[in-house]
Amino acid sequence: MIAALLEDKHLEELLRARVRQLLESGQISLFLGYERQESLPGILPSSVPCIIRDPSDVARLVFDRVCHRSLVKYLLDLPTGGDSKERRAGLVVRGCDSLALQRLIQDHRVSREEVYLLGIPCTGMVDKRKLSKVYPQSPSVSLESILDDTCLGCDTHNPVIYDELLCEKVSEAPSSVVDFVQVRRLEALSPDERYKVWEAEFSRCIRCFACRNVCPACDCRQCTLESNDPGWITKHTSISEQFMFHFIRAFHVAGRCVGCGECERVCPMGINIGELNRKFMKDIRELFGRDNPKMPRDVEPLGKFNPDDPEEFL
Amino acid sequence: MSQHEQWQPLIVAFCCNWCSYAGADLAGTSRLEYPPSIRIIRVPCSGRINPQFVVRAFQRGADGVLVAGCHPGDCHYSTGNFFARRRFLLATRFLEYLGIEPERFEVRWISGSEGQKFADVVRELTERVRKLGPAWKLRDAV
Amino acid sequence: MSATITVDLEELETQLAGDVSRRFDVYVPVDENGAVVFRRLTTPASGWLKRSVSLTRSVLPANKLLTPQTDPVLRFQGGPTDYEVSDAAASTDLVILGVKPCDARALKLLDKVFADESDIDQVYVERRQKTVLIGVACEKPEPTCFCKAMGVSPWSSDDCDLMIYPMQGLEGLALKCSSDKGQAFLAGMHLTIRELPAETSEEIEAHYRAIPQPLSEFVGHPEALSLDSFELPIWGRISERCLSCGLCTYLCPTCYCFAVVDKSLGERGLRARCWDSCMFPDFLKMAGGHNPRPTKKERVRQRFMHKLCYTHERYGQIFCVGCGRCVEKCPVGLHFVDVLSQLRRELAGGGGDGL
Repeated sequence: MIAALLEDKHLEELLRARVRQLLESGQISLFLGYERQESLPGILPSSVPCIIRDPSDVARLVFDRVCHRSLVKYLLDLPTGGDSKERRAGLVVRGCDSLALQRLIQDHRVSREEVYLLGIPCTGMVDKRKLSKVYPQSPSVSLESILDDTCLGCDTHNPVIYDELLCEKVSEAPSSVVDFVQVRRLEALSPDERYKVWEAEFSRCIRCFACRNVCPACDCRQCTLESNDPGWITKHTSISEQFMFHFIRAFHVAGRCVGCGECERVCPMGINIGELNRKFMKDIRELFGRDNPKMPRDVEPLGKFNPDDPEEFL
Repeated sequence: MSQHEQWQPLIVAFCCNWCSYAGADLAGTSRLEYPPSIRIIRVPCSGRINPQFVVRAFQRGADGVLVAGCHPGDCHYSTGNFFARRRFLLATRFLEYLGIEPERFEVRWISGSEGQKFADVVRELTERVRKLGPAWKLRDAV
Repeated sequence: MSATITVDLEELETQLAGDVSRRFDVYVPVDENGAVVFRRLTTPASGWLKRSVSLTRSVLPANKLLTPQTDPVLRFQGGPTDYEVSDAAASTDLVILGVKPCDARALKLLDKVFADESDIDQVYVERRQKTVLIGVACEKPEPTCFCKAMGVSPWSSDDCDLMIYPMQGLEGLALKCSSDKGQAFLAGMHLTIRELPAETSEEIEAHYRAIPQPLSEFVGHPEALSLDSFELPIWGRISERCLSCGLCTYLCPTCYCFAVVDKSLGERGLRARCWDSCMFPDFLKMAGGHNPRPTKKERVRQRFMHKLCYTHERYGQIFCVGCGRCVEKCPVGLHFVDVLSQLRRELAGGGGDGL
């Protein structure tokens, strides 16, 4: 029953057929998609990124509601330049993925011409934690009850860029439905209380960098966190350094975060990283009037200015 | 509170070379009195000031931080301070969001002719920080 | 070892929070926002013991308390020509309550690395001697647990000093001592102890034995890899989806790599051993810029060859205790069980078929 909720066999068939054509015709040299992991007893079904190069492998491809990772950052691993044909990659993009890809394109890390996009209007992925509470015992659950929170608040179900769509667009929730309930709740606290909250959160951080590595806005060739000079952070994990790490990470994606929620999903320690990103989103919207702060532009809010910006520093 | 009145806070000020640093100079040559709490770090432009600098100052011992640059429109490099303004509109809010008392951190536009303003800003900031006592948040130690 | 006994839960709770906390640093698992982490017992609310022993495995293994992420080695102070150095390595009397049998076994494995006769890490050994491990038998394993497959029994007291059996339906809390240290620690608490009849003790064991662990059966009993496996094509294939984060290594109870990092603030500085991960691209990067493991293929291979081959060659054991943390947390499912079963297929001649 739950398995049926997760799958869309028809869509999968379309996807496989189309990828086979693209690979056979040589339009793309590889395809970035998802495959179902081998099913393990008692363990939630999970689909993981895979790269298909041989048309005979397309049967591995799936698209279901447990395709959690975004594929776009894998593009950065592919060889570039010269006569490398690897970069002519096809990939699946949902709404959030298309924003993430747009981010990489605007940052000149990927060029639009080297990717072929199969767009899939998406109505949400399930939350592994919610799913684990009902899987596999509960006979019937509603999809709504196990969807990921980020997906429930999504306002970009349909891809914003694509070469073709594999199915009909879905109706979009009104733009800017991102609410900032948690941010407002934190803002209402006193500085000391807020510091305590973040101190408790950051003290769990183990600096595994999963949040950075999964983030489509973290696409620098050389990360400042790995530079020894001036060495903004070291491998020492004092609470002070944890604050510095999270300050840097959040500030570097301020105005560039596409709101995909991946950082929160991958954090093994359950740190509320998203509330840092959403704070910037909220302030950017309030201060600079950006109606949809998630939509990547060629120049981001911190890369430009308006002479009439709010003045608080006179 | 009495020990706070005795205690001299440490304020780190990032001043742009062209206006605010000149303003500090003018305060000095005009023999204006202001508390000896301040340590000025001269930077080419307020646009050079990465908000990480502010966190670093708190990490390494500052009780308060001042960021100062030319008035918008007067930037030596035309637009540096416009960028800085955007950046610090966000940074002030973000620092506060992380739990830093807003009284400890200030951004001000101080021109080369505003020696008096420089002295006033330093005095006011110092007094506000003195009331709060030594900063301990973000402080790093080995 | 000794017989199973019961003690009064509240009495034990009072002792641990009171007298024991004055003599030891007591660490217990607590639930923070859904993440189970070990925290120092300072001002516990009553009922904490019952909550702690009922928690599932912690996100970070308990044994990481003996090899903390930032572990001071020495302090230095002074200028470029005139400076003083002082020892900063410290060990305290430690009680860790709520250790799962998998994490306790991991310490046994780490002993081979840090406390082997030929190769002694003094601080580690001291800490090991000064630490009392109070284990908790696994009442409700996670679906991702496969410790049985790795030769760990989720109820065994072998690797702990004391073992708690938080089973329902007993009068009091069932305990078992499994070392002299445990015996002495227990005696020091002056609890009212009731010995359990042998049948009850067997019942308890039968209860834990009967708790299923489906993933273990799936995993079977993995064999070590030979050095020839270095050249298997599987490494290139599976590493493609790796994110190069350090999550798997930092959560792994048997991973122990560290870097020695100096940090100086003005005239004072601290040298510490800090966790490092072979999954990070700069893990082996040298001063001249050369990187012996330049791509994900070499790095992912290192992780699995280390656990399945190198440690086996050197210490005679696969360095995995089946705790299942990587299975649960790896963002891209590049975990031990998945790799084991792919390796099995590859070695059976299945080659690249059906990843």
